[in-house]
Amino acid sequence: MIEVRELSKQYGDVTAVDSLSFRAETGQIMGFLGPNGAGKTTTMRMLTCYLPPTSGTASIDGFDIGEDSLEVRRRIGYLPEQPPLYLDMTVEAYLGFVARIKGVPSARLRSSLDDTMQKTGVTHVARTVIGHLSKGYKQRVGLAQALVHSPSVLILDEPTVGLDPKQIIDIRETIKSLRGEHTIILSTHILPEVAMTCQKVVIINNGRIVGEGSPESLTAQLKEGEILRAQIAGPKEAVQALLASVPGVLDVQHEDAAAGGIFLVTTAPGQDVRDPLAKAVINNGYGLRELRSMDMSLEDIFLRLTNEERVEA
Amino acid sequence: MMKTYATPISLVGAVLIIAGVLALVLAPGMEWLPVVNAGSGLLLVAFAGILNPDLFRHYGRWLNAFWGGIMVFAILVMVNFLANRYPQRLDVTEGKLHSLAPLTVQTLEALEVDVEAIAFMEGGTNESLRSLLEQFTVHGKGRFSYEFVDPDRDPERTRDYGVRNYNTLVIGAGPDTRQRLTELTEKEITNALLKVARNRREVVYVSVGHGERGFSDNEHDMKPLLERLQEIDYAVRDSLFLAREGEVPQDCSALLIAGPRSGFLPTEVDAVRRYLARGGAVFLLLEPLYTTGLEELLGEWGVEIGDDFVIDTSGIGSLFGLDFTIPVATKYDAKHPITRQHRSGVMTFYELVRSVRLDSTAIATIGADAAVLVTTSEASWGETDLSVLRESGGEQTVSLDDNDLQGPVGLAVAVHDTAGAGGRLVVFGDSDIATGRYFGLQGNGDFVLNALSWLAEDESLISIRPREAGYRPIALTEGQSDWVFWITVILYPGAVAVLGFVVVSRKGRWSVKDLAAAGLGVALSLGVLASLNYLGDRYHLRVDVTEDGVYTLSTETRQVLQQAEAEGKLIHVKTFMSDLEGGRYQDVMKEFGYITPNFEHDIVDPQKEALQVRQYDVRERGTSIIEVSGDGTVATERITAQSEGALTNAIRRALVADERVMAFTGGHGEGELTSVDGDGFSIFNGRLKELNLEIETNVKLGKDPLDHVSLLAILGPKTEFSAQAVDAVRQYLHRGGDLLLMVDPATVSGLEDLLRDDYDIDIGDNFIVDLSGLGKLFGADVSVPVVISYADHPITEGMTRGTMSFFPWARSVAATSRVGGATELLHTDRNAWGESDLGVVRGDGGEVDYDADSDYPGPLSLAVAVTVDADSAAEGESTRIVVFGDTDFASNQYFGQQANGELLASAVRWLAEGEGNLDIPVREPRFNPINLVGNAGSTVLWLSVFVLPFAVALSGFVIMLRRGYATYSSGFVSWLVYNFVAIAIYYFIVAVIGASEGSILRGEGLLLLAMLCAGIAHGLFYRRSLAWPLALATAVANAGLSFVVIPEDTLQFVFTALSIANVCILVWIRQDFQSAAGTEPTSVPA
Amino acid sequence: MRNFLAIYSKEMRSYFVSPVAYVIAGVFLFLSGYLFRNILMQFNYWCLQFSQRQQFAQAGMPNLNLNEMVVTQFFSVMDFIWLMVVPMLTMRLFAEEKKSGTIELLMTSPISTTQILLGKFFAALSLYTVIVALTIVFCLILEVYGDPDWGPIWSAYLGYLLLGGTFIGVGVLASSVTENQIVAVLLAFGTLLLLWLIDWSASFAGPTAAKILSYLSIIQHLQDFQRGVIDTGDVVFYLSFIFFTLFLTTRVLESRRWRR
Repeated sequence: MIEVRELSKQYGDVTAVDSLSFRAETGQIMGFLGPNGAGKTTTMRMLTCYLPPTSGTASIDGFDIGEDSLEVRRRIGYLPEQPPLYLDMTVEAYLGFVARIKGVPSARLRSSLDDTMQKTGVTHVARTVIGHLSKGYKQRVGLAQALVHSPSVLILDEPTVGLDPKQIIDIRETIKSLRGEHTIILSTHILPEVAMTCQKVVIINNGRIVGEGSPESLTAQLKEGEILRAQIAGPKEAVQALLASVPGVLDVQHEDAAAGGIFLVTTAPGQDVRDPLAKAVINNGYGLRELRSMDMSLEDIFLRLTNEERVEA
Repeated sequence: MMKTYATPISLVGAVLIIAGVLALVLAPGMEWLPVVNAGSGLLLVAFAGILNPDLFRHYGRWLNAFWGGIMVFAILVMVNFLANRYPQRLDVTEGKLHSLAPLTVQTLEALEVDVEAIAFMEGGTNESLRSLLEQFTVHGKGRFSYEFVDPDRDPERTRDYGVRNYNTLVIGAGPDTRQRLTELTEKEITNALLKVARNRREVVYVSVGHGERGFSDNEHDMKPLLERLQEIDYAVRDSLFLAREGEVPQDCSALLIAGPRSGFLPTEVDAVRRYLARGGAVFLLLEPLYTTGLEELLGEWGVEIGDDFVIDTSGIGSLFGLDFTIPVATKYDAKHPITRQHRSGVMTFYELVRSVRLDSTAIATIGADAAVLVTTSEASWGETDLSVLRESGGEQTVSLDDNDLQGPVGLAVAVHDTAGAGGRLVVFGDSDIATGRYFGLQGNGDFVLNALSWLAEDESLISIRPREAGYRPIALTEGQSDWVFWITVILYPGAVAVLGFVVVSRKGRWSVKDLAAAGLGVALSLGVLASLNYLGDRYHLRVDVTEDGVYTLSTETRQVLQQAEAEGKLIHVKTFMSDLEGGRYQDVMKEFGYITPNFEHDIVDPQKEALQVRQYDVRERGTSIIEVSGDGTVATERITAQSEGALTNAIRRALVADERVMAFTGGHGEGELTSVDGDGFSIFNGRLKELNLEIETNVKLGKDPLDHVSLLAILGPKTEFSAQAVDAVRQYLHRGGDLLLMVDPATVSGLEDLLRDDYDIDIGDNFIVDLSGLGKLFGADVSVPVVISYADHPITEGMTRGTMSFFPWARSVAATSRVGGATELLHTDRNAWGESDLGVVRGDGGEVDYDADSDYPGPLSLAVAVTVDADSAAEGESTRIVVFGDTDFASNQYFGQQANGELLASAVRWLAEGEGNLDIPVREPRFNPINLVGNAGSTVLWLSVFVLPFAVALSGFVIMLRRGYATYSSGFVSWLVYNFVAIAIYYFIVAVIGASEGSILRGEGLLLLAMLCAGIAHGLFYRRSLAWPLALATAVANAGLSFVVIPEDTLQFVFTALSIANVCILVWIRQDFQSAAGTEPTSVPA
Repeated sequence: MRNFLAIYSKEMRSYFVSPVAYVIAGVFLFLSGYLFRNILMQFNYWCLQFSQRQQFAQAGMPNLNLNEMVVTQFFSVMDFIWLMVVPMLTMRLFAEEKKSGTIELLMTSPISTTQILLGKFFAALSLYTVIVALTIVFCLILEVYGDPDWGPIWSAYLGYLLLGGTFIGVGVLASSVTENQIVAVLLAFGTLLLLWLIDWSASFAGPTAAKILSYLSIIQHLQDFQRGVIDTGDVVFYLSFIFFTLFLTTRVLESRRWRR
């Protein structure tokens, strides 16, 4: 279990992390969401005792990161942005070394090595030099070094960055398979990843938490209204006015696409205006090509919360 | 199918053509082999063309690239050839080093007679000499012409110019004045020109007999000056003994008096006055402290010499490591011919110089014109307190006070009696400027030479000698050098570091609190370490692991040092040598320092510390002065031997020094210690100070008590001692006292019987006549016996063979019995004898001839040293006696001559040494040479330089292979490919050479092999299964072939080793060729 | 202790796997072999000359002692080669870790900075010792052709061990200060060269400053070892030097925690 209390970090006059507080239950996968430079890495570095916090504290399984950092370090597995690999060593030798310095007793060394390699699927390249491995395998070895001493807490900093889709899916599967055994903090800025793997999400921006909770609860909280996406052929202004006149419609946004206009209709929460809207369009002789409702995607939530300007798709 | 072979055929053809063409170029003489190669090559290429017509299109690109390369190469060769055939030389050096020196130009322009230079060169020509002589003709304005002759083609001319070997240049202005020179440099040619053009020869006489500087090659004499004078064709007569000659010879164009130390007799002064009056030229170099008797004559010529020595505190001397007693002068009289050419900034040095001034009134009276040639800077003064120089006794301070002469101080003057007969006088305040040590330094040499040339009225020579690289002095005073230190070492790098830190740390964001904590931690640990180190350095244990124990000192030394420490005495040793010499002695002194903190030593470089050398009166390099100071007294000892034993004994003597007294008897006409004139003993007295003995003079034997005296000295008594005086001496000797006795011929001291009966010393009643002729060397007649053979005794131990000592009016002193401790120290030559007829000495007639019965035949002993065990109670206490058969050999006049002074000083030192000398064995690392005979040397070469590094590198290579390549074999295959390509190229080169020399086997055979290897390399690269067997066969062949193909034996080893290695590798990766035949080389897996 | 061994064995393996160790050993041995041979030949030439002119006393001839002429000479030349080689050895110890990010692995694992440092220090020292030990071959050659005094040889090797420790201490410190390996090499080389030449300026400084400066020079203390005298003062000097550099390195590594 990870508990963070008003953790903050200043670099001279720049506040990287501003009194962060959250909890991650044992066995839970917590997503740590935020744009680049939001303070994710700094927070993780503080949790793993690599950097001392300017103020506030945190505890891992009850051990405080300031006082008994040795115990804390024995309990965490940490995969930083750039996997810490010795390129001139073979995979097996490297993992053996990491196990030894992470305190794995020599009796269990061999066994924990084998099953970690098996878990992360690197057994067949055990004897190859890390330098010769492809990016994907390197990432797997990076993950393996975080798991080799089966730590109670796992901190992964953007584990899937720079991988091809197939590799990303493998890594995600592996992380999912770890659910229950470890408390995992997964920091990323790829939103679908969080939605699929994490049970809980913390959204952080400029060092402050702007949103916390499960993905679903988040969407529920923030859902101000339904959004309908309609594609209608016809003169832009007229259609827009028509749609606005339909009862329950709050706002109509127009997007011109090649084949006729795209209209985003925001309606009050809980009201389904699809039928009256469709009827109105057809009666006025315009062509209704498509009409479907869009639920508030995490991305929208994220954008809403971090009120960034629209990110071009 | 045939098409596929077209390419290889055309390749073979091309190789043959290239081999043939190259062979032709290399050896145009050879006819058919290269032609055959080229021809068959062409045929093959044509055939390949037929087989595959579009072959040439494919080759087009290759060909024009090839031809382009050839063209560029040819152009480069041409340009280089031209460049060094017609060299243009621009001499941009500021000192115009490579063009003619002003002196040469001046000499050429001053030529009044036609001079011809004939160069007898091997092969008839020599480029550099030609360009040099060309420049000579340009400046010679038609007076100078040159011609090159090839001795082989023109033997008669070579013979009649008397030229015996090649590369000789003959310069002549007519048949009789011819100079032959083999050293073809501008300087030599100019000198030859000077000799030929001038007809007059100057003669310089050098006065001797007053301790002047001679021409021996030790650094205190004037050998370089002599050489330079002979170079410009001056004749030097170096032994004018004015006392004897009475007159300066007529043909003397200049009289040189260099550093006289004892006074000129009145007759001699008159001789000089007469010489000057009749237009002569005198060059007088003085030394502080010594009066020369010429002062009055100089006064007449308006020259006043100060009784002082000049101190220069400007700090310019510090650049050369010289202290303030060696003034450096940079300002010269701009008008006087001697110093006119001296550019400002050229320095001249004067070690211990006295001031020289002009008295304008006197000059006006004799109507001469005079000038002060050189003055020191303002920051110097003439120090009148000469005590610093007289007694030696540690360092004293010197300060400017009112009766000193304010700076700037004149150091040299020149007076020219224009009104009278044109006499010329130059006076320098110092004579060291002309000695070997300083002559070569900067402007010194030129200054002395110019003065001499001016004196000999030979202005044509006065100019700056051709100089070496442009001389650019810098003179940093103390302040300036500190300032430079601060800028270059501290401020400048510091500023850069701070700037860097600011830039870097801006993003680092250090927190002050942690920085302070870290700083404290660092400071604390430094403190602990410093104290730890101090303790470690203070109380440390030294373990000597060498077998010969070279660095452990003997127990006696340890005891002596502990005794000194117990008595609270502080020992300070000053050794006068540069810190590069005497390595082992310095190690020994370091070990002394480790035993007790009371011991300190420092190395004083005589070159730099002239004042200390003068104060301690150090005469020999390597002398150590040991000062033991404690409870108010300072005892000094002096040793020249550099060994642990000598040092320990010296310290031991110094510890017990204060109890020893040396008493000189008086009242019987003995020699005066304090008198300074010719027959006084003041110089001997000065030397006694080194032995730290308490001196008592004028002791009346028989009256004054002798029990506290440890050494009694009687210096040439004229009258006989009373009976009770002789008794006093007998008791003193029986008690164990030591005696130094010096007696002159025809005198009776009264001690003769005592010495003969109790100590077997027989003092002969005669005087020695020495016909050996040795004395003639320095003008001594038969009455002065000369000794060159010395006995093997501690006193005469230091006398190297050949040093002379002479004894004016001496008598024989012999040891009657050889038993006991008597040794005869000095022996005269065989044909010297003891003349018993003392008439001549007493001045009442009588002639000198050898009559067998009454005279004593040579060789005769002149001095005896005796050690006898005293019969007094103190055991181990022994009496030492030294008797010399002459007194005036040690008087002031002769003390400094040759070895006289040293002899007497070491006799006194032996007498004063007393007993109980420890003999401590000298610990030298033992002699164990090695002998690498025969080829042992080359095996060492092989083992140490090749085998070991090769083995290490190879093991690394194998590991690299394991990591670098996915599998071993692909690594090894690439090794093999490189190998075979290299061998192919090598064989091709050897083949071309072979073909050019016409041998078919080496030419064609190796060409074939080269092509084979190239093919194998290609096959291996593509893993052709056929390539493997061929490669194996060739590798085996190579192992054998190496002895034929490679000239040098060590390389043969390497080549064979490589071939064998290749064979093993091929065997090892055999299966790689079977399975993967024909596939592309596998790259690294995904 | 286990952690120390883990770091130590990892560094040793990475030394002996990568070309660094072999290149350094190869180059060093080649240079010292070449120098040794020349010194030996020179000495042999003198011995031959001496034996030829046995009949009259040759005062000028240097004292023909094998140890003094060959062994001491050889060792005094070798230490300059090391001055250039050791920075190469130590540059990768920390600088590479920082560049490749593996420092985070070390810093976030339950292992103290001192253990990391000691592991790396002794790995470099062991490699240095192995290479120096290889030069024993030259002394064996001497044993074959003459009979050297083995006392000074062992004391010289001890001196070398301590000197090596000092060099590596400075190297590690330089490596820990920066990410860039080039800067690490230059820093180490500059500091060592300064400590090597520091006693040169002693002759111009005042008396006490001269004493301190000549005490600080790392070469001054080596002379006793090479001559065959083991002086506890020198041993203390070298050990304290090593301790100080390692202590500074731990401070620098710890400081990582204060900064970023």
